[in-house]
Amino acid sequence: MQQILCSQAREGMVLAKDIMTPEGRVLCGKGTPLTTSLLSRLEKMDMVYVTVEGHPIEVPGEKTLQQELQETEERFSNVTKIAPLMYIKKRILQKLVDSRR
Amino acid sequence: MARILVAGSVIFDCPETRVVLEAKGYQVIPCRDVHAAIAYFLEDPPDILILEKGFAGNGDKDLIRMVSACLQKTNIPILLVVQQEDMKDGIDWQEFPVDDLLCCPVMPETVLTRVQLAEARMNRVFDNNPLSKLPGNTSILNAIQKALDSEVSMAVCYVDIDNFKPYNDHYGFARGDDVILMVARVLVNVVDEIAREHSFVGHVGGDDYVFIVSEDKAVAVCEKVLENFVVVRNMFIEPEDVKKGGFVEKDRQGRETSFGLLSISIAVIPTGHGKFDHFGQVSAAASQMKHKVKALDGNNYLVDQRDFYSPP
Amino acid sequence: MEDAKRQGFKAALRETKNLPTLPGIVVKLTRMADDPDSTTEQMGRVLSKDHILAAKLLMLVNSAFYGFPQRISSLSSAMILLGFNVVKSLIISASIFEMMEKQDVELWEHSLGCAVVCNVVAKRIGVEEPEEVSTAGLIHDIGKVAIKMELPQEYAKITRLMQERKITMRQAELEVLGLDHAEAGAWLTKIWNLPPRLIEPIGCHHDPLQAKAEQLSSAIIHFSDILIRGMGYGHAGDDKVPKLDKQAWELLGLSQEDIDQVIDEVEEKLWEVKGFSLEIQAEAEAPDSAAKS
Repeated sequence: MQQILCSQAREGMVLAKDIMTPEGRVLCGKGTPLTTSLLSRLEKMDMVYVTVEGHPIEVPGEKTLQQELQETEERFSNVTKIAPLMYIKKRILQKLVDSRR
Repeated sequence: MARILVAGSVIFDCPETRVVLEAKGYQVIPCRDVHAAIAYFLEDPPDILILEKGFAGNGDKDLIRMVSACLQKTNIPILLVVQQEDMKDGIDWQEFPVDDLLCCPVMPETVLTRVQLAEARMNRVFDNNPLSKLPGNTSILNAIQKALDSEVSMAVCYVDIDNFKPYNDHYGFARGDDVILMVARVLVNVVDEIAREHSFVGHVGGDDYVFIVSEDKAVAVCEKVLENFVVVRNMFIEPEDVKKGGFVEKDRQGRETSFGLLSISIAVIPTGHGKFDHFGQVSAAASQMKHKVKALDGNNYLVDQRDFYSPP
Repeated sequence: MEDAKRQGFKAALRETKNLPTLPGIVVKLTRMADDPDSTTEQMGRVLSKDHILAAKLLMLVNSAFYGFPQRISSLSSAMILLGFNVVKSLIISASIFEMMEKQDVELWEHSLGCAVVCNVVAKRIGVEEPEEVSTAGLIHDIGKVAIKMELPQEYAKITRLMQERKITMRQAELEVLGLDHAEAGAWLTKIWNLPPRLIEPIGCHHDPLQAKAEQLSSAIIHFSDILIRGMGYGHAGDDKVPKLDKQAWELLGLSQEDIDQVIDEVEEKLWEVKGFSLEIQAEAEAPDSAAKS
């Protein structure tokens, strides 16, 4: 899933996360496909960003999954002997893979 | 040494002004920029403000709004410097709640005299509580009478801190003072934000306060005051006592008793239309309500629902 | 490092005045301040996402002038006691980066991310006042901003040293200044009269067991700093995840399950933060974002 500005969102994209009002109520559930009318409603409500399924917008300079995984490994390269940190690294790598699905 | 912040430059058209002021022991701080002036007020407020009308465009209004709205700064005299044309056009004193006027071109001695007069007047006129800087008894009674005479239906609210005396005994007077100041700020900030129009906040003394708001806002204000108090209160109590939910102290009879933590009780007296003739009746009604609301545990407010005033 | 030199640097840091904020945040807050319907809470939610404004708020409310020296350690209390007029004035008088660099945004993101993790971990452990810990977590790296602003030449030296010798920022700071950003941060917050409950964890976030009264808070920030760096959110100056102090880790007492839950929760909360970050950066570029004149 990808987080994008509402201005970048297009009809056909599908919400990957609930859209909440500032008070905490669910405005639009995850799984809802975005339509032009929904998008204009969101714009009127001053919503700035949404999270959609997949990875529809190409962000210049955005890293590939491969790059992110590699960078994460690099980041933990000084602490390979510290068990809790290695466990944390494992979980983070797993999450990275899951989020790109 | 009193510090004068001068926002604007026209007053220095006569350079002796600064010399004359400094010769009398004032420190003069010139300021050309609204942001800098506001920053000064925030961090190191001066004792007196000389403000040029039209300073930095609308900067004069920004600065005044900031100064007059803030609790601690209501004792700072503001002298407004105007041009002849401003006087011809007329000045809206609601927009410029200042204490004195200087009209250009100004003689240095005039500036000095007016500054000294402003200081003297400040000491004479205000019955402000020295700790909270809120208006005291005389102003409160005047405000209540004004509310009774008003077209709008108002509510006079009496605030009291529960378990304050044992808190003072347990933690000392300095900490007690901190709590008094804290409650004053909570009250002023809530009233300012939710119910500014027609409002008034006063400090009778000790842990007693009075605030007046329009009747339709009274409940919202009480709820927010209690809500905010709950957030801040624990900062003023030791963690062990917070955990215990109270502390042990001697009561008025000298017996060791356990007391709950600080809480707030508010008695709300709507003044309605013609329900009361005189502020004394409002105080009497309040005593009755206070008794009831203080009997309740924890933070509470009670609204006087009676349609008529019945003497105790 | 001679003591005189160190004292010299400390004296320079003491002069730290108006630290700059991201333009996007000031634009957003200014818009909110001008809107008669905004509440203190709404502005508070935005303010609590910026480490510089948060530090300023705390400094104000703890100043002798306001009457609560060294007492207020949470942002929500600070907002309640200062009131919305003072908050609005703070926004008007805020200074912004003249020339903003990528690292400024990334440090902001790192600080915010750290606050988020602190909040999650503190709640998980069952700390009495989690907001206090996350407030300390938000401003824990304020020393870095002060060093960059007040000691630009030394800051350039530090950056060069890091690149040339592949050492951490902290190591470079110690070599060039004889003190690190943790000590600088603690020193500054002490001058600003912040409560010891905040000062200690800031000073000890790299060495939590040095703390006297606030070992647990310091350990939480230490761990949160590490976790948010591990997750790659924001940038704290150098690339590598620092070593986790063994005793601090034991003090926290987190199980594997705790870690799983914490990471899940942090990831959830970071989505919102990332969205906010997108919004702030968009604000700064929007055509009607008035440049501070």
